[in-house]
Amino acid sequence: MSASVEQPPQGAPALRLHRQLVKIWATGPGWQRLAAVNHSVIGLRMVITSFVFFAIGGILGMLTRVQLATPNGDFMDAETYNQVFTMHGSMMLFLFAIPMVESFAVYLTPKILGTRDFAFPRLTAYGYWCYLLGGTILTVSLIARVAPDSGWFMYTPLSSNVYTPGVNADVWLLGVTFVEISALSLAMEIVVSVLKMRAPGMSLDRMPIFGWYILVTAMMMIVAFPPLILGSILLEIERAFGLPFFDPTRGGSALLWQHLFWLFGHPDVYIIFLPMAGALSTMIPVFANRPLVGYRAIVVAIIALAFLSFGIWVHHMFTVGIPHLALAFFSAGSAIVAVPTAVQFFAWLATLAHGKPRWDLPMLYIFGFFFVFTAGGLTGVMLAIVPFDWQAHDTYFIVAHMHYVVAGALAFPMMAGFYYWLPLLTGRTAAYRLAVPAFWLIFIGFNLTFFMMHLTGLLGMPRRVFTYNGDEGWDWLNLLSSVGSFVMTIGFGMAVIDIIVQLRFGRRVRRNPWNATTLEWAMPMPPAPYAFASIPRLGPGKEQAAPGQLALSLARGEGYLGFARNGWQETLGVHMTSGEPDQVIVLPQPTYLPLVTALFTGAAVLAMLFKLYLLSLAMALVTIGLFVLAGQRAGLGRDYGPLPIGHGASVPPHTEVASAPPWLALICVLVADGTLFTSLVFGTFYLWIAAPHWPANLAPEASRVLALGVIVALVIAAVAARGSLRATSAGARAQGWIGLAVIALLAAIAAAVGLIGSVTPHPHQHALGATAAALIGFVALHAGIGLLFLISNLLRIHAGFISPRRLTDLRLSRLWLDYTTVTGIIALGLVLALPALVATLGARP
Amino acid sequence: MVVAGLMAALCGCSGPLSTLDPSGPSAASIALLWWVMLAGAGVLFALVLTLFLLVVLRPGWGSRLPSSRWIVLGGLALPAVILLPLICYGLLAGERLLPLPGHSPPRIEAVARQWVWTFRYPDRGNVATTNVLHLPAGTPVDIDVSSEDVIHAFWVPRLAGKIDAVPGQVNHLRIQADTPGRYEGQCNEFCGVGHARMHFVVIVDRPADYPAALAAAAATTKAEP
Amino acid sequence: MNGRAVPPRRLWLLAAGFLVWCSALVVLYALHAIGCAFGWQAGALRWSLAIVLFVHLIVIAWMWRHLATARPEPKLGQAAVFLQTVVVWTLIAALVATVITFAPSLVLKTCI
Repeated sequence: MSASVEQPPQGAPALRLHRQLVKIWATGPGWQRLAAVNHSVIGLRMVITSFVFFAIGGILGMLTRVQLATPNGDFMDAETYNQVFTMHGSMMLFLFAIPMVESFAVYLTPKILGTRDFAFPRLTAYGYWCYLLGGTILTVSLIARVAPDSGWFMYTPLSSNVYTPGVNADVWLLGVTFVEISALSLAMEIVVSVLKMRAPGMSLDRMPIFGWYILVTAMMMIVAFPPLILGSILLEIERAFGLPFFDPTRGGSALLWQHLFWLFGHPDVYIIFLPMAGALSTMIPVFANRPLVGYRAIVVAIIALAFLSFGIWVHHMFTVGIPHLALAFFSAGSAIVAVPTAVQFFAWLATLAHGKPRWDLPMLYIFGFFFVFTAGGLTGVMLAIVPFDWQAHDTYFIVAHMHYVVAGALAFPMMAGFYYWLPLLTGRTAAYRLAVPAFWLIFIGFNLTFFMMHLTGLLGMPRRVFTYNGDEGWDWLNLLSSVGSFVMTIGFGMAVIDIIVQLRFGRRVRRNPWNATTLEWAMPMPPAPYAFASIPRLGPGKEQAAPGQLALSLARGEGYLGFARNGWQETLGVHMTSGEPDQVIVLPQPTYLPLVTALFTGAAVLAMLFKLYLLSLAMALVTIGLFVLAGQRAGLGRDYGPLPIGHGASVPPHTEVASAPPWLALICVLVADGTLFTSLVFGTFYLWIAAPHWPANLAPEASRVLALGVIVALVIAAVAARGSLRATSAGARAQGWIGLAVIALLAAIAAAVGLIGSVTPHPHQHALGATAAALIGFVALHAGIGLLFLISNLLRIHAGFISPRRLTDLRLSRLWLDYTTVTGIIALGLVLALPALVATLGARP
Repeated sequence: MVVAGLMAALCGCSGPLSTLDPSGPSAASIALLWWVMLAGAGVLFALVLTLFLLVVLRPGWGSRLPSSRWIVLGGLALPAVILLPLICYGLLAGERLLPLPGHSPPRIEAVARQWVWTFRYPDRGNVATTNVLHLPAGTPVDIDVSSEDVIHAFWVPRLAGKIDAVPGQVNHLRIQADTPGRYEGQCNEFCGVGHARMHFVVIVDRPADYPAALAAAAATTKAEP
Repeated sequence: MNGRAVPPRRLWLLAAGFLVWCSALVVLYALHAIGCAFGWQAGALRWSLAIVLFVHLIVIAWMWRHLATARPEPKLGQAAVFLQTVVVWTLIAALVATVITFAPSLVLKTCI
């Protein structure tokens, strides 16, 4: 797809520049496509892949509607139905919704922000392959009839190995975690890219609103996924190795899983909604012919929404027996989360009211969004009210609400976005005679299917039943829902045909067909692999050249970096707030490494699935080795000093500045990891206060000497890392310091392993021992990763990638070891405090 | 109560498991809450959609109102006026449905396991019934809900909201049936392949008939192993 | 050029108000659970919840006062003014959210 690039319109300089840049940036033909790292290529692949999973998930949804169309349906038995509805939910959420919004982010963000690519192209590719492989594992399990069948929410103890002994639940835990790794890595890269890689002059207050939405969403993902990843790891450990965390008979708690799951699950709804709201905030001003109203109000609203969405997870748990006063926090929170959404709605309405709106296809879908999402939001407020939820919880009323919210938030803006941005990709426009009826079929079919379910639920139909008797008064409602689902499917089918027709036969349109003001239209259609032949500068005032004119000037190389240098894939890094260029970022070339790494990661997952634990460990080690290998090629082999970037300005390459992308990326990693650690610590306290069978008859104990040893070793490693940094920046040798740190870490790991062995009660016996082992295991794992940092440092010092001016590597190691030491002290402190904590439980009435 | 019953009759919302056809104070209170919220939601929905169509189809219609006013009135004032009273109403209504101490009604234990309900009556010589729950009419009863294996949920839609049966803990639900008769209950939390068929029957007897009816039911339960 | 830009560190302020809200949620939820588990007297539990809530409110209010009165340095340009406005409004939003979300802890029955 990258080879078919439109000829730049202007004469010799533009054409010459185009040829030079394509040679550097293009993905090769044939098999070399597998080595692609370009965001346009990967973004497009993600769109298509997630749409394929949408189709599969949609078919599964249709199957459930066939089964439920009539009472006592015998189309499927309960076992099959359970797999089908579990996979419908899991696919739609994990394989369609999240990747779809991410694919929008991947494809569009660099273009809208005026940069050439993302900060870590190889990570983009790795994320994509992980997603594809994880999705494939889940799909294959469905064909093999061993698909997950405990619901997409996987409530324990139903999903534990006692009640789901087969491989089904493991497929979910491993497959979904695999896909989440991809989501998480993309989220980190999005945060770094939005903060550091924008067009010069694009200060935060002038960033297109889409950038704010994507930035906030990516930050939410960094914090939302770790609790679920932790939950999945703990549940998999319980299933595979018998350590109890959720087993109520051995001091675990069934509800701990629900807390971890919904701590992810609720923000996830907003993770899906926000990027789409960003697309709406981009499209609505274009169709209103005026700038967006209330830019600052919207930024405040999305920050508020991001936080509030984390504080309302318990509204999925109103019926589990939590005291009413505690429910009240979450009830009030769930109600007021509607306020930031209302602010956005009325900002959009005001934009339309103060502009000169025109109708076009995207506006039709935007109307669909307003209709569907308003209804879903209103039922959401109803469900926030505790007593009503006691009746409506886990009935078809929730199914209706959830589809109105998720489909309203995702499907309608997604279709609007497709029709809005496809001309950028194809240079053509849709066939209206097909597209308009398709919309009405989707819209009517959707409302017929899901509106009925409100009433079905109020009449008492529970979710997740594979059949019903027919005397409950539900049959006509279910039949209508099933008919509606077929109408909707026909509509989606027509929309797909329309899009395919558009690719081949659509009417050609001029550049910037919608008169948009964002930068993605200031480039050739379809976009070239380098995106911008030269990087635009935003002028000081509000006024800005129309993207159409700007495109010509950029193609002639009149912006920044309008040249090819050293065969480097160059783009600009800017100061986070002011948007002034502060570094040249040299991006890596296409490589098979992401694919190979993802394949080994997948092999580790599969080996785990087939209970070949040693093989899995080996594959995981190879994966880690490949990551270290990937690190070997990063950066530049010597000092360059400031490099000219055009317009008389010079900035150093990213290897020689403090705020380089890897530094920010590590901060993101630590935020994610810190969330996981915090979840583990809170999980321990939760079990202490809430789990049955505490206190155990067995007094917990761990060797104090070993614990102290671990802490001392970690502190030595952290100090040695500081020493290596100081030595290198002074021009001295750092290998001695690094060697000391390696020895200290090895000692820490050995002591930690010994400590796990000394824990009583035995981790198999009681959750007390299991959580202690998990906490110590966390420390050992992080010390192990610290070793990798140090090994990479040694190799890269040897290869000449580290110099007094290029210190990023050593700073990364120092930060990692500091983090490991701090979390280590907390974790081991908690382990040592467990006996005292358990003793206090005796004071309970 | 009267309003809720009337609405149920009007919309044809009756049914053996209908939350809109309440037969106890708890379900009636929630049904009333629903009708109030439905009315409010209907008005709001119409308002937003009308505004959208007006601003799009009649350009310039809303431009006299400054844009900041749009956001403050629609995005802040409107939700504040509606949400704050709703939250207060919801929390107070919820608190009145709780099994508050001070008034200790008879207790019945409901124990779930895949895919059977067992009901024990500690106040009645600890007899037990399976998949049939006997309640006296017109008086509150506290149900102590627990589970022996996975999570289930105890739900009699015409009498009250639901509560989960979580292994390792006991949850309490106060329930009251106003009129004698036969009601239906079901498991409302996905619990495996038998989930769809995990129903139970609630027989509400006149207080005078209750001991005899329960004893008879308990005797038949014992007969079945 | 970096001397005339808002330091990136200040971006954390965008999260400050709601981080306090998060802290209030975590502390109040945990305190309530512990109080109920250990059978504290209703009055004692109520007072400790109220004190925690008020401490959080005071922290947000203090940040609001502190930041709302600080004039953004003109040499930092529009971005500084923008950040200042957004931060102040997130603080106000967080203050209101804290009041609405946690006020029920002052009124409702404690451990049912």
